[in-house]
Amino acid sequence: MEETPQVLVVDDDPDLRELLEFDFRTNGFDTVTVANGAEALNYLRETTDLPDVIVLDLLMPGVDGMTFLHKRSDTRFESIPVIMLTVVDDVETFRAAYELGIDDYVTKPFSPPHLVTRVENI
Amino acid sequence: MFTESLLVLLSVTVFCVFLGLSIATVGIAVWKRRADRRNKRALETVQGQLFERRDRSDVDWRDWLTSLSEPEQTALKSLLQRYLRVIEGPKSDRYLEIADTLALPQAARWKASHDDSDQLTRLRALATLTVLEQPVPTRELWSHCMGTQRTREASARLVYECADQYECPGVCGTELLVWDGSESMTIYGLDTLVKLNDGAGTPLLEVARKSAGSWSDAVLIQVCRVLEHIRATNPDDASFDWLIALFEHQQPAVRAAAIRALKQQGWRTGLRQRIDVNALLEDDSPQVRRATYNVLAYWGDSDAQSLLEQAMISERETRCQLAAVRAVRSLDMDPLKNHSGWPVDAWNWVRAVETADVDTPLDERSGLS
Repeated sequence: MEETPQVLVVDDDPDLRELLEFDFRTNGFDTVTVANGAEALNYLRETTDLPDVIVLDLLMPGVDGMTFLHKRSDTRFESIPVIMLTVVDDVETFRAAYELGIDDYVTKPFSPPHLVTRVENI
Repeated sequence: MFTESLLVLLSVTVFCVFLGLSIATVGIAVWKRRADRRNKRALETVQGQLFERRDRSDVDWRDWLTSLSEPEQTALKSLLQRYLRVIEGPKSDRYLEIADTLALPQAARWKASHDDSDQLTRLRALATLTVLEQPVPTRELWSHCMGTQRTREASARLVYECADQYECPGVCGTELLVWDGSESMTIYGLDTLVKLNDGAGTPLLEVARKSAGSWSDAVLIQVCRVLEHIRATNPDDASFDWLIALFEHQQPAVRAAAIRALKQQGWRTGLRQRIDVNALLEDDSPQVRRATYNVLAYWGDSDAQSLLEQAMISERETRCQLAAVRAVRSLDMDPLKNHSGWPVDAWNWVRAVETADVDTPLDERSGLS
């Protein structure tokens, strides 16, 4: 039997987390949501079932998206694809994020079906 | 005896007041906690029901909305606004339909343009209308939403977001933002000003040509900063006349901002000929000279190179000289090092900074271990 793919959503907006969780679940993804980079790192360190994709907000209180990308660089979950979801629309930021290993980005406001398609195709 | 009774009476009064206040505080806290719980429950209920109905085509929104309690309707209104800020596309169209059924646009439009609304209510109403992409006629914006810089900025954002429904959105939004030019814009206002003016047209140049003379220094500097970063491709050279006039402004910060604002216009040869670069390079203010070096480095053609080379040698202020050397280095020029005024120290310092491996921690750099 094929395993259900898992998405880890990292975003400080609780409403958006609920929305994305619903959208991913209805599209056949197992979804875990956390509020910031620190919680994401904790989850990744403790879980035995690593996610297949991470949807990562850039601007969050505490450990933000960039810091998360820095901190995951020397761990066993470095190879998990990351899609950055951000209000920032700036070439320099995207360049820096790509250097830190993101695979794709989506800017807010975004179309949820578009994000789901990106996740499916990664 | 009389004093004792008075003291007892006073003590009893103080105790009663204290007790009353304590009971009221506890009562309010309990009431608030219950209200918070009720609102949270309402939000969870309404969120689940919304998700469940959102993708169905057979839903009658009116029926559903009338079945909701008042706290649930309040929760739904707030939820819709929060979602509409971050999502777009077909899903957001569904949320807009619900907002319409709830008469959110009408209520917000009424609040935005009603005489009795306070500024905060007006600001919130404008934010709601922006999220719902519901325009307000320009005359209503001008007559009701000009009370504070924040409401003017919210009005301009509304114009930007509903641009296709206004006649001249660029000019209208820009005029709302700079208004009488007395108050600085917030980051939100500046962001809107960039969005309204980036690309062909750049109505800001026309608005500034008419009104820049009455703007405060702070607004002039902000406007110059915006022009420094946007692409102003269409306007003719005469649109920049007011900017060239700012080279005579008494404040060095304004003069420096004015030359920086022309950074992206180096390709306009007619305009370049009208800029007295030598006067800027001889300006008393180091701030103005530094700005000019940076702009020349950006222009980077042979004229700019030769001016920079001269400036690097003639500059006497050390920080300015470093700026000039950096400008020359950024152009990968090979200047005449045997000139008697060659700035050896500045040149070596800039080269040393360039070659230092700044990403490597100090203790790991070669020669430091």
